[in-house]
Amino acid sequence: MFKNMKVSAQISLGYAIVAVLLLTVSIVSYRGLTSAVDGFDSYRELARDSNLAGRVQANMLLVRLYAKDYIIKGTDESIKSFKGRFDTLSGLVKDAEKEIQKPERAEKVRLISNEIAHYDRTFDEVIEFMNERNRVVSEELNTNGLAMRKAMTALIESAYKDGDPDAAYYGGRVQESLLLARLYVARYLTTNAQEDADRAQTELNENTAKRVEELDAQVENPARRRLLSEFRTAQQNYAKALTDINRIITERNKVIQEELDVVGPTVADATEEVKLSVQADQDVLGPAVKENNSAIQSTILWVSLAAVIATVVLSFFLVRMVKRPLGGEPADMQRIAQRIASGDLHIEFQNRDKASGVYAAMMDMVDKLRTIVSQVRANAENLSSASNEVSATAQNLSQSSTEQAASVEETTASIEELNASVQQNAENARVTSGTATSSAEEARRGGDAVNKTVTAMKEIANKISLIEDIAYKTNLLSLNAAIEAARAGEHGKGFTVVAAEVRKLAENSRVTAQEINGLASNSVSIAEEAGQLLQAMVPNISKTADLVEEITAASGEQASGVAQINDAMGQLDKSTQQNASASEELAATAEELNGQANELQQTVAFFRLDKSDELQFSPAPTHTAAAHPAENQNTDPQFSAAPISDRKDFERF
Amino acid sequence: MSNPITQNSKDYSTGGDEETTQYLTFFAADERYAIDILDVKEIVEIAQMTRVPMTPDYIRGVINLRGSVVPVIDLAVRLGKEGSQVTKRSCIVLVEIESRGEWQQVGMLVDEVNEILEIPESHLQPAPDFGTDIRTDFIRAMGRVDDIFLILLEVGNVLSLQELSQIAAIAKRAEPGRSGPTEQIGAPADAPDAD
Repeated sequence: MFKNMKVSAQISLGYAIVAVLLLTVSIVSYRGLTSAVDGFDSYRELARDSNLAGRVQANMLLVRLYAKDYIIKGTDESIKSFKGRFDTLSGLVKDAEKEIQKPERAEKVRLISNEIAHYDRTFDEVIEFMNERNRVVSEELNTNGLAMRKAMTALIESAYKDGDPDAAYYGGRVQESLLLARLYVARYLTTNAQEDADRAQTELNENTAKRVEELDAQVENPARRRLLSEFRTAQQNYAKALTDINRIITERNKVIQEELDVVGPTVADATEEVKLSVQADQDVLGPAVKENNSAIQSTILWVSLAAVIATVVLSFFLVRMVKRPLGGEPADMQRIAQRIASGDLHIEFQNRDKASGVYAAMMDMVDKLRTIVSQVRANAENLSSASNEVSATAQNLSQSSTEQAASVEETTASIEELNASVQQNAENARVTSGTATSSAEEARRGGDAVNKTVTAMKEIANKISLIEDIAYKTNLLSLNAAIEAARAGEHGKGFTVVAAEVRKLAENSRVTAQEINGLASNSVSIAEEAGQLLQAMVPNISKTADLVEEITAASGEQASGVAQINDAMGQLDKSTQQNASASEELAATAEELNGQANELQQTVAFFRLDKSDELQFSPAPTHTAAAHPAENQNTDPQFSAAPISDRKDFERF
Repeated sequence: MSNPITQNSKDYSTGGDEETTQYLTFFAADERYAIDILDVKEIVEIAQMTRVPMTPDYIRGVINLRGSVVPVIDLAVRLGKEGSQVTKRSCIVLVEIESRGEWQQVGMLVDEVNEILEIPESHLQPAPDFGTDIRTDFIRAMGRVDDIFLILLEVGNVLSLQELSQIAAIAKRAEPGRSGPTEQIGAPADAPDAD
């Protein structure tokens, strides 16, 4: 399977194996280093956690210290110190929450975080209680105490001035109880002990009250009563304030004991547990990391050794496998390929039978090339003669196409003349049509004129008959005159002559009138005939006009037909000219083809081969049985001699 | 028809040696006749004609000629032909006939008066006994004019006595207060002018 692969694939595969080995070494080393680094990181984390827990513990202790300090001293400085330290503590606890991830430790840290928040809140409550106590002390206790004392002192002085010894005495008793009560209150405020508070209550509410009642019975002066009433009011307020103080202090102490003093130790314990847990983890992790590192060292050593051995073996096999398909030294094959490239196909090959791979393929190639080149030579010769024939034919075709184009142009010219004459015809027919129409109109008018003429002629005939009548009457007159003359005898002779002349004139007139009448009548008939003829002409002329219009239409159709013929001739002309140019191009192409055939012949002449050489070629492997690249150089003179005979052969073509 | 006229007018100029008589020619019933010009009193154009009842066919009627009543005879009927149609060429030839010492004017209705011809005596021939379609006593003679024979009518016979008496009676009947024909003789010269 490996042998069937391509050389590139074989080499690639070999290098791939080496690369896989290298990769294995790298991966093993990387993983070893990574685990060592991880172990180190884990260990460092644990160390940091341990430090953090220590700092939290220290700060918590300080916080508790400041809290106690405040409870004892009650100063603002203590509060400030507490707050500053607490901020540091809460920042550390937040860091610890982020840093410490292990579940059981994280739980502790959360507990610490909650507890210190609780501690802070509680401390704030304590501060409030302290403030409240201070306020009650300063505003209520001190003011009312002072007011009681002043009131009682004023009462005693007043009684003393007025000389009321009872009142002064009882006032002094009240004052004593009051001072005792205040004394116990002051003690209580310092000690915070409940028995002091109880004693103060007893002094104030029982002894003082009892003595005030006794005083009340003795006091009658209105001023002193007013003072007493002030005292009572102050006493009530003082008693109330004392109760408040007692309540506040009790609650505060309760908070301190039940919450503050509980939370502090809880936090300390949790911190301690965290520290211990971290230490336990460190004790486990350290040895494990150390062991892991030594195992990785040995693995890397062995894998590297295996990779080196595999690379050496692979390179040995690769060299053998790559060289087999080449079949010879690349330099020999380069020389052979160069000779083929220079056109020399007369090459002798040693040990043809043993040849393999590329070397055998080159032998085959040279043989095939020889065959192909000889065929190409023959074909190129044939192509040359054929292209000559095509060239001659194309030139004939070109000539006849040119003649055809000329005759088509003549025909086109004739058709254009025909077109012109047909259009002239159409125009003439149109003009004739107009003329015929106007002729019809004129003929009609001529008929009308003739009719008028006939009427006029008839009128003339009538007038002529009048003349005829006149002539007749004149004749009658002349006859009468002649009769009278005849009756007159000799005397009428002359008159007879005159009468005869008159008669003759009348006769002439009559005859002439009759002739005119005849002529007129004749003219009338002729004119009527002319009129009828003219009337008969009108429809004929109209028909002629119609026919001429049809001729016009036909001429128009002829004109369009001729125009179509003209277009067709134009297209024919164009295509004929295209034919002519195409045949000229064909002729040129044939010429070019001929030139290229000759060029092909010259190109193929580049390859030198001789049939007589072939005889030398085939026995070559037999008498050079031993294949040595060195002998190829000895055959070079034969290669250079071969082309001379080849050239002689080419000259023959 | 014009030729005879011109020849006849030559006859007028050249005549004189021979004894000639003038004749008035006219057409009646498509025949040409002639009468002596001296028998003619006047030619008048046809005018309003009044038919007279109880008269023969040939009496066409009477006309009023310048106040006097003149009977008119249809010559064609008198000559035994068809009655002539009155045209604008028709004329009435007035003649005077002597009847029992009185001159009576009578009109003859002819189709057309023609001309006045001078015919020498030598060209006259007596009326033939036969060959004519009218009564021979109506014919005075046959006149030859250029180889054509004209019938010269005998007015006296054509307008016979019997007819004349009837005519006179008609004239008297129509015009009882009439003094005499002599008064009328001088009048014809004015007659054409009056027309």
